[in-house]
Amino acid sequence: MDKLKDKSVLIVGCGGLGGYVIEELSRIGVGKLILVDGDVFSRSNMNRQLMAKEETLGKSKVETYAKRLGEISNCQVEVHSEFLTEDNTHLIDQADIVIDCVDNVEARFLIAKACKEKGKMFVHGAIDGEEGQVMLCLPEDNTFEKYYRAVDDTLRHDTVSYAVATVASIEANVAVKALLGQQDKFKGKLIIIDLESVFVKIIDLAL
Amino acid sequence: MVTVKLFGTARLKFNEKEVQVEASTVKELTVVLAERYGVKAKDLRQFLIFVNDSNITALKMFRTKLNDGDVIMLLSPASGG
Repeated sequence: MDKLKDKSVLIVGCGGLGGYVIEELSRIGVGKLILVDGDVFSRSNMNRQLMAKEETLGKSKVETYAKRLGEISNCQVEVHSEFLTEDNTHLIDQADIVIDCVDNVEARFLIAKACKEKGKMFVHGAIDGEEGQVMLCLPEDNTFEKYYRAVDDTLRHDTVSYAVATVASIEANVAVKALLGQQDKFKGKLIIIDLESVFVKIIDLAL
Repeated sequence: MVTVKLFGTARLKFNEKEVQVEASTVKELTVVLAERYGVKAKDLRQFLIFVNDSNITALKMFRTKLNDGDVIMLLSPASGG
């Protein structure tokens, strides 16, 4: 995986999905991870977030993961203890790819807009209960916007730990493939994960 | 009879993940489901609708004919992280 050592990945959201994505990308050899999240760990995170434990409660998520990365890899880490907003989308500039690990629709649309403006690809991932989805979004396509037209952010199931890990691992997988120049493999595709019936399906959105 | 699989918002909203429906077109399907769930058919048409893995945008949209055994997916995103 030497080809990844010069790559830089920006992860927006370092909670459930983000925690697993950080762990996996660092272990596979990505050279630099840029972590963006203004949140701290709380007790309600303990059911699904890798680094949520008694001693990290109240501590910055990005700082906690930076410490973790120092223990497990040689990956270069840059942390931003802030949420991504219209005012700091410049953070995306130096990344080869962005990974959407946030937990709300508004932030996802901001990532999609900023990545389109800056010509960056991003991997979208989201979960609800035992289901989730992953998409590779390229700056020249509109798959994210079209898929997200019918979302209702007010409806939520409790998120299940194994769904977080599964969806995050698929996000990491898609990101690595894209970093290695294999974007066409996922272009215009929606990966649906339904762990209630243990079902993973890749469909062509053909939008 | 066709099988309808619901994902994301659709599954949350209607509290079902799979239903059997008698309908001969996608339009009729949305009308039947709208009655079943007490919503407007036009709201159901906001979801991405796939018939046997093909987006209806690549078929005949709501005029797409349905046959016994077809599998329809009503897709909408999950949004948690």
